[in-house]
Amino acid sequence: MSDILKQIDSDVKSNKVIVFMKGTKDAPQCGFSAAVVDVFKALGVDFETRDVLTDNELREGIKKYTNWPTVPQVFVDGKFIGGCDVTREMFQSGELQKLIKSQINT
Amino acid sequence: MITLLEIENKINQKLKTIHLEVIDLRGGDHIQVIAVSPDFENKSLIDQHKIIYEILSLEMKSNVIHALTLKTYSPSQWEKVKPGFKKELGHEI
Repeated sequence: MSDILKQIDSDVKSNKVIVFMKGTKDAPQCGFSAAVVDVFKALGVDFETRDVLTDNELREGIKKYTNWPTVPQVFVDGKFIGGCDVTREMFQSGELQKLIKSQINT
Repeated sequence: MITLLEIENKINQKLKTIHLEVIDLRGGDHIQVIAVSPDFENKSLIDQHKIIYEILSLEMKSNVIHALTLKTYSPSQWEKVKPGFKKELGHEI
């Protein structure tokens, strides 16, 4: 596994919720990334982010890591759950809240 | 550039759908797909989306489709959401 994939792997495993996104929590640089940040702010869950715009190796590496072609990418307790659409849909159905509650209490 | 009909045909060639909408959100390369397929039964949302992404992977890699927004359902899920279904994304593109 290349260095970048090792780094992503450790980031993913050492954070309950982490979002690989374009921009930062306070300055998202794309509508999809901003929407994901809004979801987690609405949930009041603290979450880690990585800005793929600052590191092209990271931007390509994350797509290899999950075999998913786009950013943002959301991980909950080490598991890739999806991008903006999946996160919003799970938020609207309440599935995301259930997933996070079960992970945070363990 | 790719037409909405070409996208629709490409999906229908590889996926049986009982409901399929392909919408141009902006500029011809920000595309929304709403798809209901029996193949999505018992699949997680991300796996449903992976099927569509796989079908359109060439267009995504070549940036002919720059942004792809998906709403996917199995027939049973579709029956539940249909009454209150809204196409709007609720966020900017």
